[in-house]
Amino acid sequence: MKKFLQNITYFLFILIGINVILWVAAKKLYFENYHDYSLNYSSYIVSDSHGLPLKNFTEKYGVYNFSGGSDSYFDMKRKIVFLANKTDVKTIFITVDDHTLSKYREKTNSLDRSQFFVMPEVCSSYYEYFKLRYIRFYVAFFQPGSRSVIKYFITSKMKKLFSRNNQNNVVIKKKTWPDFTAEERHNRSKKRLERQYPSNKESYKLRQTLLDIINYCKERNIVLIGLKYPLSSDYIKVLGNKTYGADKIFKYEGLNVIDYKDVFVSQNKYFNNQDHLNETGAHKFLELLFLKQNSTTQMRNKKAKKIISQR
Amino acid sequence: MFFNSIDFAVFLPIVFFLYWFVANKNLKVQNFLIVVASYIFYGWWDWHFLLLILFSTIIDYSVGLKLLSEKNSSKRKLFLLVSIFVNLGFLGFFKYYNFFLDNFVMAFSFFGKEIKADSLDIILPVGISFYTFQTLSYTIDVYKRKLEPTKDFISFSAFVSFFPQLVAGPIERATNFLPQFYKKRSFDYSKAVDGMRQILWGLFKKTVIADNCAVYANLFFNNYEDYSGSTLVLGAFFFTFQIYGDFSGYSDIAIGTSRLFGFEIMRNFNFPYFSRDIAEFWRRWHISLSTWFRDYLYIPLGGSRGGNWMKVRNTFIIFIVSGFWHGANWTFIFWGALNAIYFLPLLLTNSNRKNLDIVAHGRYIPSYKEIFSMLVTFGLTVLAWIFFRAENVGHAMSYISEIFSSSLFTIPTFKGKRVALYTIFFITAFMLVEWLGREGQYAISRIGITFNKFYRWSFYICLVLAIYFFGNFSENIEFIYFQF
Repeated sequence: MKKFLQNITYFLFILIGINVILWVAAKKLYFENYHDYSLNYSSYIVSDSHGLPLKNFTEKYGVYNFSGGSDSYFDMKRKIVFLANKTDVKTIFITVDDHTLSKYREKTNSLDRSQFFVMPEVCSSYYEYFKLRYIRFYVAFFQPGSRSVIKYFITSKMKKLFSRNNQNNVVIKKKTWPDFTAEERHNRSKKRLERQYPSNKESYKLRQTLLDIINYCKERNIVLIGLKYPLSSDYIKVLGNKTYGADKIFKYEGLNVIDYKDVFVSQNKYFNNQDHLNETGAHKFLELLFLKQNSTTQMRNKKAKKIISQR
Repeated sequence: MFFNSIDFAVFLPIVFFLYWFVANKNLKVQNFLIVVASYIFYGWWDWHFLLLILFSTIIDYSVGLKLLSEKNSSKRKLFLLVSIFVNLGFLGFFKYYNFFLDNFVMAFSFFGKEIKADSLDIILPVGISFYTFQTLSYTIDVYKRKLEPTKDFISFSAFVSFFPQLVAGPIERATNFLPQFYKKRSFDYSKAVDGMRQILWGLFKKTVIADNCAVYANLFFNNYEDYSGSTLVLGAFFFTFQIYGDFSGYSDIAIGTSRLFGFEIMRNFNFPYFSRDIAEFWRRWHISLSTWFRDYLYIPLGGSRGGNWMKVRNTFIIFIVSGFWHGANWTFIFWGALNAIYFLPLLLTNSNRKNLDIVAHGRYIPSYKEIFSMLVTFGLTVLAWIFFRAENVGHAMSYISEIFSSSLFTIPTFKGKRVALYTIFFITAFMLVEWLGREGQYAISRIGITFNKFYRWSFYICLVLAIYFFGNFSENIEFIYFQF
C-alpha cells in the first residue's frame, strides 16, 4: 500500500505540474481580463462580445462594462447574482440581441470562465458550489473551453512555424470593415448568420435562464434594461426577420428595451465587422445610449408632468 | 454519477481511503461501506431508483433463504418463480410497457379497430437490465443447488449493488462474485496498479475514441438523407467504434475500479473486432450477457442438442431475446435476428467452435486468410450495427438503401472533415495498440512487464494528454449502455 500511495503521489505531482502549465496558459490565452471587475458602481452592462468594444468608455457615464466574449445567459446569470451579492447594483443593461437565445450558445459560451463568479445561491448544494467555483476553475483538465483555446494556440503556432519556413515574410495589413468590398461584407455576414442561427428553434434552456434573470432582478428591485446593439446594414440585410425573441420576452415581462439595432445603418465607419462596433462606433453608441437617451427620458418625463398638471 | 465526471473523481479516492484505512479491520464494515458507497453512487442519478434496487435485493435474499429451507420441489419452483416474476416484472414494466402498449394499439388499428390507450411517462432506472440479471443468476443458481444461499444480507446487498459494475455490467455470476464478499480482501500492489492502468485505458477509449466517433455517427444517422452512400458507410464505421469504445471502455473502468478494492470481476470484451467468424465474435463481445443467456436460456431450452429444427429455434430465441434485452424497439429485435442468421450456418455445419484461440497467436502479421475472415466478420457486424443504432426499422432500411446507391463510389463530403480525419487516425492507432495487446486481458495490460518505469509513465502521461486534448467531454454524450 505504501508503494502504491507513493507512486500515486508522484504521478499526481506530475499531473499537478501539467495542470499548472495548462492553467497558466489558459489564464493568459483564455481568461485574460475576463475576471476583472469593479464593485464600485451601481449600474452595469452585461453582454456578450457585442459589449466588448465599449471597453471602459462606459465608466465616464457611471456604468461599468461587465461584458465578456461568448457570454451566454448562463454566464450572465452568474455575473448578475455575483453583482447582487457583492455590490449595491441598481441598474443592469443586458443584451437582448436577436441571437442571444440561439442554441449555439449552449455550447459556445464562457461557462469555464464565469465559474469564477459562481455564488452558492445558484448552486443546488455547497458541494456543487465547491465543484464549480474551485475544482472546475483551478483544474484545467476539467475545462473544455480553455482546452479549445490552448489547442488552437498550439496548432496556429505550428502552422506559422511551417509557413514561415516555406514563405517569405509578408506583412498583411488587417482590413477594417469599410475596407471590404460589398461582396466580401455580404459573405462574411452570411457566414456569421449561419453560425448564430443554426436552427429555427430557440434554446429552451437559455430562455429559462433569461426568465430566471428577470425574476431574480425583480425580486431584488434591480432595474433590468434590455439592450440591442447596432448591426451593420450588410448583416441586417442577411438577417431579415430572424430573431429568437429575447427582446419580446422582455417586453412581455413589462421591461424596457432600448433597440439600437439599426441606428448605424449604412455607416460602416462605426463597425469592426458585421456585428461588432469599433472604437469610434462604441463612443457614438454610448453617447446615444446615455446622453440622448437621458435627455429623451427627461423630455418624456417633462411632457408627462405637463399633461398631469393640465389635468 | 458517470465514470468520466468530476463527481466520480472525488467519490473514488474518498471511498478508497475509507475502504482500506478505516474499514479494513472488519470485513462486515468493509462490505457495509461498499453498500453505502454503491447506494450513494446509484442514488446520485435519482434517489427513487434506490427503492427499486433495495426491494429487488430483499426479495432475492429472502427467496434464497426460502430455497435453502424448503425441501418440496414444487414450492421451491414457486419461490424461484417469485424471484423471476419480480425481477422480470420490474424490467418489463419500466422498459417494455410502452413498447407492448404501442404495438398492441398498432395491431388493433391494423385490423381496423381503434383502441385508446395512454402511454406512461416512465423513466427507465439506470442499470436495471444489469442488476436484475445479476440477482436472477443468484436465485437460479441457488435453486439448482450450484450455490449455497447467503445468510449475510450485507454481503448480498454489496454483491447486488457493487458500484463499479452496477449500471452497465459486467453482469457477474453469484458463484464467482458473491464468495469474494465472504473473504477478507488484502491490498495487492500489482492488482491495484493494473486496475489504475485499466481505468486510464477505459477513459481513453470512452472520451477519445467513442465520444469523437459519436459526433459523426449521430450526424450521419440523424441526417442520412443529406449524405452520400460513402459517407453513410463512414457513419456506420464510426458507430461501430463508438459502441465498442464506449461499452468496452466502461467495462475496463469497472474492472479496473473493482481491482482497486481487491475484487476480480469477469472480463466483458476480448478484442471482438479481430474475430474470424460470427461465432467467435459472440464469444468475445459482451461476454457476461452472452454467457448469461447461454447458461440460463439456451442450455435449458436444449442448446445445440436435438435436431436442426431445435438448433434453429434455440438460436433465434437466444439472439432475439438478447436483442430485445437491449431495448424496447423492433430495431434491436432485427439486430438480434440478423446475428442469428449470421450464426446459424456455422452452427448447422458444426463450424461454430473453429476459432477458439486468438488470431495470429504469437505473430504480429496475420495470414491472408485471417485478414479476409476478420474483414468479412467485421463487415457483417457493421451492417448489423446499423439496425442497432437506427431509430426504427424504416430508418435502418433507408440508411442501408442509401449506402447501396450510386453515391457509394463517391468521395465522402461533409463538414468537419479534418476533425473526422483525426478521429480516424486515433481509431487506427487504437486498433494497432489493441492488435499488439490482444493476448492480454486488455490492450495495454502487458505494458507493466514489457517496459521500464520511465517509458510506462511517459505512455500514461501521453494518454492523459490525449484525453485532455482530444477527448470529447460534451454533456450530451453519455455511455450508450446506460440506456439499457
